Amino acid sequence: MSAPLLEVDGLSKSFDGVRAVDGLSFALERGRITAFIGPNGAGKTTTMRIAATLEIPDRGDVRIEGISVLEEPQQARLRLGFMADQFVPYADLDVEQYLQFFAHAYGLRGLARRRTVASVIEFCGLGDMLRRPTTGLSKGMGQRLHLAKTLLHDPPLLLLDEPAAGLDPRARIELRELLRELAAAGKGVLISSHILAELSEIADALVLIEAGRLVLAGTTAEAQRAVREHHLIRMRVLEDNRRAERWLLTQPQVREVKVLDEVHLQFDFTGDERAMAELLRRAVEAGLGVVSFATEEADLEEVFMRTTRGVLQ
Amino acid sequence: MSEQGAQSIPLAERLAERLNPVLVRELHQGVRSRAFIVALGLVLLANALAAVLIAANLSEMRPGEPFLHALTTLISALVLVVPVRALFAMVREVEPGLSEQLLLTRLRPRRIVHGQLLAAAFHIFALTGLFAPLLALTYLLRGVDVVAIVLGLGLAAGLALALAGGALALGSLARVRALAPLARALGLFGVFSGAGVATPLILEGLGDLVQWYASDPEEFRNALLGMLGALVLGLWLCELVATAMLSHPFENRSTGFRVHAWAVAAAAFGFVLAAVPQRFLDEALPAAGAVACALAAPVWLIAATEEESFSPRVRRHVPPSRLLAALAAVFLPGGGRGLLWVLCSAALLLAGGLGLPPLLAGTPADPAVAVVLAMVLLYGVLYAAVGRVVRGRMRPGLRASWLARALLLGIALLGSLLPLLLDAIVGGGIERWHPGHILDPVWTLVELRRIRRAHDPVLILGVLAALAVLAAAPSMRRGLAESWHAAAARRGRARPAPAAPAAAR
Ligand SMILES: Nc1ncnc2c1ncn2[C@@H]1O[C@H](COP(=O)(O)OP(=O)(O)OP(=O)(O)O)[C@@H](O)[C@H]1O
Ligand SMILES: [Mg+2]
Repeated sequence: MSAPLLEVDGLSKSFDGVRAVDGLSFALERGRITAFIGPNGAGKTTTMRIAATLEIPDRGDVRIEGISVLEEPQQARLRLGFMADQFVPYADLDVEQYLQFFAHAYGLRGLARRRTVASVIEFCGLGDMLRRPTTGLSKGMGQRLHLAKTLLHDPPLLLLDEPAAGLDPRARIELRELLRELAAAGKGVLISSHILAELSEIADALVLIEAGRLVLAGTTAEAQRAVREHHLIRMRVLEDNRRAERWLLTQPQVREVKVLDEVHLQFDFTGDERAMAELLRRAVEAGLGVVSFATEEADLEEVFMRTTRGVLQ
Repeated sequence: MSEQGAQSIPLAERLAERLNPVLVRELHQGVRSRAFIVALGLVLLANALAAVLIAANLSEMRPGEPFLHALTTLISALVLVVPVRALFAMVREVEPGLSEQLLLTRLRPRRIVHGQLLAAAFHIFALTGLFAPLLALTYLLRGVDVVAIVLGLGLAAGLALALAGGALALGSLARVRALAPLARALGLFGVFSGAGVATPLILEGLGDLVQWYASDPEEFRNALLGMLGALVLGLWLCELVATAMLSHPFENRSTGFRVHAWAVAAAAFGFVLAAVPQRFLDEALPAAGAVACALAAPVWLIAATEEESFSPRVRRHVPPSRLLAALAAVFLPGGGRGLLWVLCSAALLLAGGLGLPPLLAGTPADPAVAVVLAMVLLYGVLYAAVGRVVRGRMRPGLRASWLARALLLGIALLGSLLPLLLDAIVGGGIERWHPGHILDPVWTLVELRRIRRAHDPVLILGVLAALAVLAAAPSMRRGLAESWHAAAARRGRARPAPAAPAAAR
């Protein structure tokens, strides 16, 4: 059995007392696009930078094809392409010179270098701007060049930190197409964002973190199942919502009970439909005077919103 | 078309491939930059101006003077353009986004630094080429011989390279973002002051050097060798600093400095043996040891105040063989091992300074100089050991290491100032040295000849140093044990796992 492409193992990292990453573990498979989701400051960039050998964790390790980034960063670097959240161009270098320089720095020589540079130029659609200075590119063009550079050494693992940020819808679609092709070619892609909608269509899997901790990891289907098990329920009672609230708080599967107004309550419920029916039966038997009882359907975006409020933990 | 293009790669491209990528990039960037156009214009202007001025005053000039003027213009251009460009290139190189992109490639920090140094060398070469017509013209006016030309150009190139090396080292400090403005300011100050001091020295000394060459070629050769050695060791140190700044705190940033310090010591002894007449060796060898120790003092203190344990990255690179691990241990990162290295260094310098004179000159070392050597070494050991003890009480991390170094400086300062203050307040005035001033290296060394026997400073300092080393001994023991275990772990990992249990699992 071969080692997983990327294995994050008990990772922790603090900055001056701020816990950026806190005991994070997850794994990534080849040929899949995994969305790495979390609100601002959740620790996405920190995790990716540790995986890219650029930052040192306080605890834990990251292994790429079984190679520890802590112990053998040189070996690990050859297997990963890291696209930082900001593209920093070189002054006084044009697009082609930029790519040739990095190809040279990655140790590509002769025909291999020429072919590789030509192929990433074609793949990323940079053919028309080879003579443009790298400092004079638009955001989208800069991201394309950044991606092209990241692909030069043909790494099996791509760590892309918010590559879609600041792109217009069309550039986003183009990026999505590029990523699909890369995943189809067998590469594992970890792509971070705090906007779930941006990734929910292309991602095969999902890693959700908040405050440096894992909230949810799995395929998108699994995530949806998790959504199905986590219902937001609205209930209306005849009167005495305080009593209903007290009763609800004693129920094991119920959390986050909110009194909306005189007669309306809202709460989170974990469990399948049978369990939900059971809850309703008990509520009726307890004489709460239930008038209506309804679930609100959630999409992935909402899982994100709810889980990062701490509901799933 | 692409097929055809792919078949034949132009010669220039194939050549460029063999060069350092950073050098190639610097050249590409250089040609496109505005600074290049400006510098080129200024250099050509200086050329023309010098030519006009020389031509106008030709009748009043002594033979050889026109060449000296041309050389002056060249040196001024070299020492201004090359190091300043190197400084700013390095500051840009270590910008967070840029250097990190580069470190993810196969380029190692040292190669990046080499690329920058090579770019400086190339610029020296190119600038000299621009001045070639002027130099040739003044040469044709007679009055200079080839020795003066070679020497003048060599010194100019050496100076520019040395300044560029220093500028690269200072520029690399900008890797710590808070230090970036300081790195720029220090770099510019260093370049200008270095150039200001060295340029007149070279220009005025050139005539003497040429005469020296004619009268005593052997001595001249030694002097040249000394300068070349100093240049090489200085550039090496600059390379180490810049490489350390570019490298991750987790990488091994210690071994290079420790080897360099020993190379400096070997070079000092070697130079003395080659250049000093045998009858002075009894003084010169211990003096060389003391100078080597003084030069290495920062490395000693930094080595002893490193974090005690290996980083995971370094642990993986401890030599697996028992013998190699034991031999290499004192060169590996870690404060305990660092202090052991300091003790080894002190022992070697003592052996060199006191042991070589009877061996090679047949006389024992001069007692007065020997005492100076002993005192300098003891100071080094004392403060290194105190530094180890202080660092040992602090948290892990790079910041704590630098804090420990600052504390160590504070301790040395307090150790020097408090007794003076006490003297002034309690004693009614600072009269003369007494053992209470033993922590003050400067005053003690200056007063050494006048200190009375009864206050034997070597003895007092020796006892203090021994106590400090004793206090740091557990840390040294742990340092050795750690590298021993790391080597054993690597041996264990290298051995193939037994087949049966692996299959069972
Ligand atoms: N170099 C640093 N120094 C100090 N604190 C840092 C540093 N880098 C990150 N942090 C802190 O660590 C936490 C996680 O930051 P990180 O950049 O990893 O989050 P993120 O998930 O990438 O957020 P965003 O969506 O805003 O990019 C934040 O609280 C941040 O302030
Ligand atoms: Mg981020």
